[in-house]
Amino acid sequence: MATKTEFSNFLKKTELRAYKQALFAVRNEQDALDIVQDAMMKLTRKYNDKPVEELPLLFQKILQNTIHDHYRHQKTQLFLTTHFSSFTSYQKRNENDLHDYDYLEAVPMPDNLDFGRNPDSALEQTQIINIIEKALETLPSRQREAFLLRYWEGMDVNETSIVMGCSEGSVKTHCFRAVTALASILQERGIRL
Amino acid sequence: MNDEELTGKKIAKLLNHSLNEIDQDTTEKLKAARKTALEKLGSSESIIHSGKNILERRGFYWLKNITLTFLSMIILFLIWNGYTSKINHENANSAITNGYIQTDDPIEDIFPDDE
Repeated sequence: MATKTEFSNFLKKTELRAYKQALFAVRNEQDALDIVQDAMMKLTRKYNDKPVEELPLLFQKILQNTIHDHYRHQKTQLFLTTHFSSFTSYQKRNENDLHDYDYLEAVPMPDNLDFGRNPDSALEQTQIINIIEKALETLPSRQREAFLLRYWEGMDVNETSIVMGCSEGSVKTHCFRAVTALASILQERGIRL
Repeated sequence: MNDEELTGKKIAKLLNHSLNEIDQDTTEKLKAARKTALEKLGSSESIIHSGKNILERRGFYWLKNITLTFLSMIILFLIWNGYTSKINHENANSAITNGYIQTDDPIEDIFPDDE
C-alpha cells in the first residue's frame, strides 16, 4: 500500500504530463485542469490501498477515462446548443476565426534543430513545439492517445493496450499511423527529425 | 528499434521541452489540485475544481441547496395561495347566486290568487 509521501511524489512527477495530455485532448486549459484534478481525486480516494508500482498504470487509465467522460459530456452539450449557435452573427463568427489564427504557423522553420541557449534557438524551439502540439491536436483521439502513452509516457505495448482497453495489435496500428502522420506534418513544415 | 519507434521517441523528446513552457499560474493550480487530492486521501468528500468551476463553487456550494429549498417553498406557497383564493372566489360566487335566488323568489303579491 502506497504511503501519502509516495502518492505525493508520484503526483508531483506526473501532474505536468497529465495536464499536457488532457490539454492535447480537450484543447482548453480550464477543462484540462479540471480533468487532471478529477483524475487525482479518483486515484487518491478510490485506490489508496494500491501499491506504488501500480499507480502509473492506474492513473493513466483514470485520466483517459476522465477525458472520455469529458468528450461524452461535450457531445451532449453540443447536441443541445447546436441549434442556438446558428443565431450567432456572421461578423462575430468571422472575429472568432481571426482569433484562432496562429501567427507562429506562418513562420518558416530552419533545417537544423540543435537548440542552444541563445534567444533565437529558444524561439525556434518554441515554434517547433507549437507545430508538434498543433499536429498532435489534429490526430484522431485514439491515435494521439496511443502515441502519448507509448512514446511520451514510455509504456510498452501491453501496458498501453491495458490503458486503452484494446488489443496489442490495435495499439501498434494506432502508433504506426500516429507517427507516420506526425512525421509527414513535420516534414511538410520543413522540420527534419 | 525500428524507424517508427525512433521517430516516435524523437518527437516525444521534443515534446518534453513543452513541459518547461507551462506558465506559473497553471503549475500553481496543479500544485493546489495535488494538495487537495492528498488531503482527501481515502475520504469521499465532494470535489471543488481548480479550473473554471472554482469560480462557480468557491466554497459556497452549500448555498445552492438552501436557495433551492427556499425557491421550492415559495413555489409551494404560491400554488397553495392560488388554490385557496380560487376556492374562496367560488364560495363567494355561490353565495351571491344564492342571494339572487333568494331575492328573485316571486313575491306573493304579484300572483294574486283571487284574480
